[in-house]
Amino acid sequence: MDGTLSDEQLLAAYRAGDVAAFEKLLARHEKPIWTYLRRFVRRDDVAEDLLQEVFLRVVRDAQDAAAPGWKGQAKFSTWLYTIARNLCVDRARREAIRGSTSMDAGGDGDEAPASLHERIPAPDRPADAVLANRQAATRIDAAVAALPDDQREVFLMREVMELPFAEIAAVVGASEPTVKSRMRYALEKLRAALADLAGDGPGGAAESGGAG
Amino acid sequence: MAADCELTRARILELLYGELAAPARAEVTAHVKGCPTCKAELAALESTRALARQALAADAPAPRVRAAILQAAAAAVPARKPASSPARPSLWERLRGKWTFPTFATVGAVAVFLLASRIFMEPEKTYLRGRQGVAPAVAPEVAAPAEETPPAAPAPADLKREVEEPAADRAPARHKPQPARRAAGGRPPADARAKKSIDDLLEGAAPAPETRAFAPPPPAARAQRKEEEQQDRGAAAVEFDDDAIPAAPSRAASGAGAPPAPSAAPAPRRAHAPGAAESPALRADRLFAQRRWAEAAIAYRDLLRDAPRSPDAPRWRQRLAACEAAAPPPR
Repeated sequence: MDGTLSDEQLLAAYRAGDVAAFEKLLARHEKPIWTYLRRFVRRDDVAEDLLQEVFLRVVRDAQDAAAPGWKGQAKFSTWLYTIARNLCVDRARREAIRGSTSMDAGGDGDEAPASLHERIPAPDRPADAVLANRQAATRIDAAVAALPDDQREVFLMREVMELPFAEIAAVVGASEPTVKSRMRYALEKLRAALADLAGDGPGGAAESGGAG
Repeated sequence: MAADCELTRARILELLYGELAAPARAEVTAHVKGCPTCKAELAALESTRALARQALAADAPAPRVRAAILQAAAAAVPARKPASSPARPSLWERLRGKWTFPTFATVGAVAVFLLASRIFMEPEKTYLRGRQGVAPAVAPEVAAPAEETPPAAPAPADLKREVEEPAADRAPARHKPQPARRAAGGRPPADARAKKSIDDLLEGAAPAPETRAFAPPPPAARAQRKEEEQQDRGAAAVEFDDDAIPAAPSRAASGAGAPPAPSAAPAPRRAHAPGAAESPALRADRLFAQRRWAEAAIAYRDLLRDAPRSPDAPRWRQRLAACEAAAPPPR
């Protein structure tokens, strides 16, 4: 029944006072946005703040019709993910100004996968499937984190938010071929970083992940 | 074939993510099936993708973040009408039970506190504002002597001395009820007296200052009430006994029920002749005993201005200072 109403219908219901509709919107989008934020800022506490901020924008927008917000000109999800991305980009800029480790530091991420391989050794002997799975997960996390920002955000939007490439292009303000190109680079870097895991047999890895 | 591989390479992402429209999809799929290179490429991308998705799927925000967001969302809607009939109690219904009462309770408590503080904490101040509008020139002249005297309430010893060594002009008018009260129990402790006057305020035994604070009566009404206060004076002197109440005028001795003569209305500006000045003095002392500091301060100021050389003047100054310490003079 949750799927019967579109995001836009739920938002309209919330604007009419139905908090349950907001709850459904939140349930639908919190996880993808959380994953995106967390993988982007790489700090859980910051990601939590940003996640709240994203949805508080929705609340404020619903409160005040005059507020600059979703006006029905785009898909709600596109608007929502644009908010999330802009918050991340703003934060990255502030971090860069402050001189701390920037999001853009991995801009030419050619070396990152190599150093990643050095940092995270492959499991010598996966005696324990759960442990191996955990180690695999750690390696995947690191590989995703090592992607350049522009590639990682496209990858996350496509894989986690499940936005079509055209929508990703609208959110990040790039052309669709550019977005696809970034996605392609991202996938190839991940493939190189995780070659041994994938070589073990993707089906097996997926099964153990589903079990654990 | 090589051209097909190039084409497929360009479209393999769309194939992977299901974004190829039907005719193109069929074309690319057909090529991949027959081309080992493209087949391997697609398989590798798929396995990489599966690995990544598996790791990303484990992400979930902490429940408290979700709770905080929902709380904010629920708090933002109470102005609007609730949702149209969800089958089970909606989130709003559940949150309302949880949050509405505390909200209203807090608002109510704050309102009560504000009202109470206005009424009980500084009734004299608000009353004075009203009164100042009527008699604006009183305070500044008389405020000066107050600085010589200690700002605290008069020490019981001083007050006692005032009673035990009454001034000569007050002596003849000394009244019976006061010694009687003194014999009975003497001065009640300060706390008890404070409590008593608060109780009286609540019970309305004394004219409640707050009623005047919000609506200062016109001068005519004030004169009328002064007469009523004169009438109540005898009873009040008993009700709010204070050792230092100096003199009971003969009119009070004649009984509370005696109708006041029109000429007996207090004339605080008049010269300090016993017959005329006794009423303001008694009234001031009564107000002081009732701890109506601001009114008592005004009464004492009137007394001091009208009869600065009275033998009671030092005591009046002392009490005026005490009144001002208890209720600071307005501005």
